[in-house]
Amino acid sequence: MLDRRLYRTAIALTVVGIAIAGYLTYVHYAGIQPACSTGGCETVQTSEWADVYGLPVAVLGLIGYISILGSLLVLRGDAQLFVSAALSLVGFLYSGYLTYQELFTIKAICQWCVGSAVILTLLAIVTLWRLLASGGAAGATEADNVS
Amino acid sequence: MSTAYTPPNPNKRRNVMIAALVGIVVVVAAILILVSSGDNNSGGVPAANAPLSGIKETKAMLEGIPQQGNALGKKNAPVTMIEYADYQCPFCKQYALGTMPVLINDYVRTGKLRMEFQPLQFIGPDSETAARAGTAAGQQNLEWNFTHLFYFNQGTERTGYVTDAFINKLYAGAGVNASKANAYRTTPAAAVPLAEAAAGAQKYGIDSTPSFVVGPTGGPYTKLEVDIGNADAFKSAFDALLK
Repeated sequence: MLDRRLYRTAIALTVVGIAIAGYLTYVHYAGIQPACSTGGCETVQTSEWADVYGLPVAVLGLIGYISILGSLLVLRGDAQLFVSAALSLVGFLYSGYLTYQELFTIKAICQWCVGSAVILTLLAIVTLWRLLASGGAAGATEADNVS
Repeated sequence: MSTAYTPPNPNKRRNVMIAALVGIVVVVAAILILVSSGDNNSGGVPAANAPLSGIKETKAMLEGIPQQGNALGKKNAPVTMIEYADYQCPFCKQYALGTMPVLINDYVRTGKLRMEFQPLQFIGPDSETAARAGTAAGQQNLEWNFTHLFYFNQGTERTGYVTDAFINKLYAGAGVNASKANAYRTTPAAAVPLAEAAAGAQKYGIDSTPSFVVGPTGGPYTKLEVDIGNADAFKSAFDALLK
């Protein structure tokens, strides 16, 4: 029961993450400014941390969220628990690093980036919780029976 | 001799999974952080998705200083210096990023000097595109933000790097309303300051960039013959006029 709730929470968080990363990807390629109430979105999005070798971080985030969603929907058992937790934790650490750069180097806040960092933090907690709560038992998790 | 069957230990299995998880996560996150830190633009033609440099520096240099069109500084500053420059010119970049911030801090910020930027376009079509874009930013009193950010991200001359995407990125970094500026920069009105700059350059016999004329605000102005890397030479000229 608990695993099913956590599984559904993880799916919901991932969908929100895809919406945020998708929006930032859209504004990047449309060449328009993102809606921004914090005033620092353009500064953050044009900073030297806004891409990885030409790949915008927004696109990287979108790929990450889609991968997490894919791992939750396609994989089963230990593979699902392990891959979703691994991807979420990588995203959590990387977004933590980017948030640090926002606060202390760029000194500008992008509400969308902070939102994504919060989503990844929650995803990391939920997916890790699922992994630890599973006790490493092989086979189906409760979520396997969610249709 | 037979061996009794031992069922898999769930705790051991979980510990192995967690250890593998920690290892993979740390390595992948470290790689991501390493490849994304610092400026990875290799120069030459700025990559379409390359991040902008100089946003913080530009903001810090210009913050709190009034702008009006192509002019920077208080209207009633006693001395005015007019710069004739080409957006594609590497020496203009050298002056803009090296000497100019010192002059702005010591003379413009203190209300002694007013600067005007006059864009010339002798290097090639990109110069005109950039000059029009700068003029459009001037309509929002952000021409100096746009221009300084341009120099920070200047590419190699005559490579066609001044694209719409490049200009939009600069507009975003400079805080310019891109849709308004883009609508303006292709109009005949955006070409008027370029013609005025060309006329001014002819008047003062300017044949290289950056070149400067200086004098009491309102004129008359005389050509300033100085080493663009020597801030003290500029300061001496200003001090002489301020006496």
